[in-house]
Amino acid sequence: MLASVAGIGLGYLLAKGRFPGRGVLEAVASLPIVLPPTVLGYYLLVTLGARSPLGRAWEQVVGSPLVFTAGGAVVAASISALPFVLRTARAAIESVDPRLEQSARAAGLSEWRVAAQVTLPLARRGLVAGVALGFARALGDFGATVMVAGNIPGRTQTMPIAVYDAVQAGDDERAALLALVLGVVAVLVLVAVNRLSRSAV
Amino acid sequence: MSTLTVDVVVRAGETQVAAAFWAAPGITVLSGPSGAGKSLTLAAVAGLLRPVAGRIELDGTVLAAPAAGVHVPTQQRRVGVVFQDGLLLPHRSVLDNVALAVRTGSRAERREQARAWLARVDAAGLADARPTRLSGGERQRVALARALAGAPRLLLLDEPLSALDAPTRSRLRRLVRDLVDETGVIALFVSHDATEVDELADRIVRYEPGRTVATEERQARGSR
Repeated sequence: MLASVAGIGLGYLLAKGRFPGRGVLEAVASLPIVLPPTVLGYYLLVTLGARSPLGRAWEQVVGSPLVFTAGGAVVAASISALPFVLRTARAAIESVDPRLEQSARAAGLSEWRVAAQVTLPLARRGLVAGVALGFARALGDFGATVMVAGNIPGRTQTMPIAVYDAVQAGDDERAALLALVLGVVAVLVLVAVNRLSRSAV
Repeated sequence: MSTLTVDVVVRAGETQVAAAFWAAPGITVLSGPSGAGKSLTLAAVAGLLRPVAGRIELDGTVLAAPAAGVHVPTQQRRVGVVFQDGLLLPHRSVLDNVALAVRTGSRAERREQARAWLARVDAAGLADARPTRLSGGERQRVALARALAGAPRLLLLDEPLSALDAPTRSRLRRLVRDLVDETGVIALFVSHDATEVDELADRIVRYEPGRTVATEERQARGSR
């Protein structure tokens, strides 16, 4: 969810916006693709940890630290999913015929309404595909999550981490089951994404 | 009487045009070879392009003057635009397309006005249709209704009939003539079709590649 909203928002900004620092923003938002997940997790841990300004602010507002909680797992998974949503959303938004947006502008629609009633609806298939891809990525994240949220069964243990645990513990049946679930979800998402991007043309 | 004054240099990529003319209520045809910069001129008047020099004025209000940093956004210029291929929003119904352009009133009132405009262009039966199902002529009728629904001060037509077959073109020429006369709008009509120029123009602005060369007034012609 977090990654969907942020990804589509940033995607729109990067597709339409012409502002200084655009290249830097794009590079930073794409970092999670190339960084080793544990490195990403390490930096998140440093930025959001109990001793960092951000971490402290969170603790003051919410009352508990962010790292090593389910919230932390969500943030870590979202950050690693963000570039996938962002890139797909951006491509979808850029593929909308700019003349349609122009004629909507000429008809008196404000920039907000052009975005909400023209650009985003026309890009919707690509946006859904991006969100699905991001969801699958977030579900499958291991490295970043384990660094930020730890591995506390029932609280911050995500499925990929549970697979790892089960194998380590020699519980082959459990590992096979979890792996099967994750595998099926991944395949389903890919099929859905392919369908969407094909019929979008 | 309301007047549009254009004296601008507009550039987009490799193409540049220096356009100078004025227009009054009625149809001013911008005529000349393709690539001469007619559509660029229209885009600058619509506010979709910023001219690099000069100014555009409507009734004493400056719409664009790059030297003074003036650029009134398209939304506030009160223009209605029709392009060659209509450019209706494919994901909304015909009625929605027209209603989106109505600027005042509640949602219900806007839809009511949109219906009235569709009826005016003989497209009342298409209200619930999807724009992708329309024929070329139907699409342009709806596009005309949408362009006029916002009570524009300027109606900008960029080769609106050139994709249509001859009988449809002739019917729509008559419709454009009637709509402009009824609303008293200043219409700029980009065309390189001799029949269109001859039949529609109250004033002709002649283009050569890259610039306007002459403006011809045509005397009020009898009823057609």
